[in-house]
Amino acid sequence: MLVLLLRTLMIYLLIVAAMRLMGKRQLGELQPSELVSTILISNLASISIESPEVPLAASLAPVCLIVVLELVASALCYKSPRAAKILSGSPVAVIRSGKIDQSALRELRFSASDLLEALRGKDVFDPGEVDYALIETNGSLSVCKTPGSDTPTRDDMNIPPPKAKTPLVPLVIDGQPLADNLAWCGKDKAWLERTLKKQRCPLSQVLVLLGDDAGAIELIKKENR
Amino acid sequence: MKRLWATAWLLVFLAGMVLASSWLVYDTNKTLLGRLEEIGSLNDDGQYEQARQAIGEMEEYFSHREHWMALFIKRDQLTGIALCLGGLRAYVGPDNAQDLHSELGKARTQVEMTGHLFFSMF
Repeated sequence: MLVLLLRTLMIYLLIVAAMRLMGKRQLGELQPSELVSTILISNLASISIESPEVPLAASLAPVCLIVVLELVASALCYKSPRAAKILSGSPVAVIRSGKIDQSALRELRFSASDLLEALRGKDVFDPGEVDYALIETNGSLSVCKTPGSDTPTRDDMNIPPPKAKTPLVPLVIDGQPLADNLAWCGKDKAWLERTLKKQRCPLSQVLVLLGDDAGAIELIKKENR
Repeated sequence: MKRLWATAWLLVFLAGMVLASSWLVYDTNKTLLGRLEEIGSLNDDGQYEQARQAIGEMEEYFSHREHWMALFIKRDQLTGIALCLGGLRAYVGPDNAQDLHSELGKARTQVEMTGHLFFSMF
């Protein structure tokens, strides 16, 4: 039993290290080669955990090789657009000027309901509102709305930009000050103490304190049980 | 760039692992097959005590190598070899020559099969 736990621990550490090494790309929406390596790694890890008679190297070596292949493939895609096209494919336009490109949909084996579902995921319920839509290489849909249906920006409406240069960021979470965010907003611990004193709230009673560099704050206190 | 270095180190690690495991399995199998041959000859020549001693040495050699080989080879295959080697001692003697040769053949097949499974691609 102890051996099983130790093997699981080793495989867990190996997979965490492998995923860290492969980077954030592996954690979000996956490219084809990334999906393949993720599936293979999860299978290889389970073999060694489930079957004590199988040597650890039977998982360790293939996982290392898959990590190497994945890193080499991503480096190759970075260096050469042609390699990227071969390994990951290229984005395909499925809507142009509000008109669905049916031949592109057929080629992608995407049904109209698949397209509408993906559009709804982007808060678009009428394809006519879309100027341009692409199916990306990771299978996600990117949408550019027509000017008439797009959300107006501050520039469009001639509204001056807000005074704060930073958004409202958490400065304290669960009674713990976040030094990086305080520094980003140009604040320090003395400012935090003064602010909390003004609010009559000790640090330990703070659930969330949000703030920006212009001095705006939003305090949520812990509820007493 | 750091990741490319990690890739290079991983490749070196994998190459080292391939070389080390191949050498370990090849050398162990070669030694075991040589010893099995020697035991058969000693028994045929009537040197029964030396044959028993050779079996003991071979078992000790394999028990040392077995721990390292278990890193690369399934344990049940290694246990199969250990069982074959463990039974040889009982057949050494003038009355069981044929049985000993049969058991030596079994052990040889077990060792060769392990090597075949490790080295063969298909």
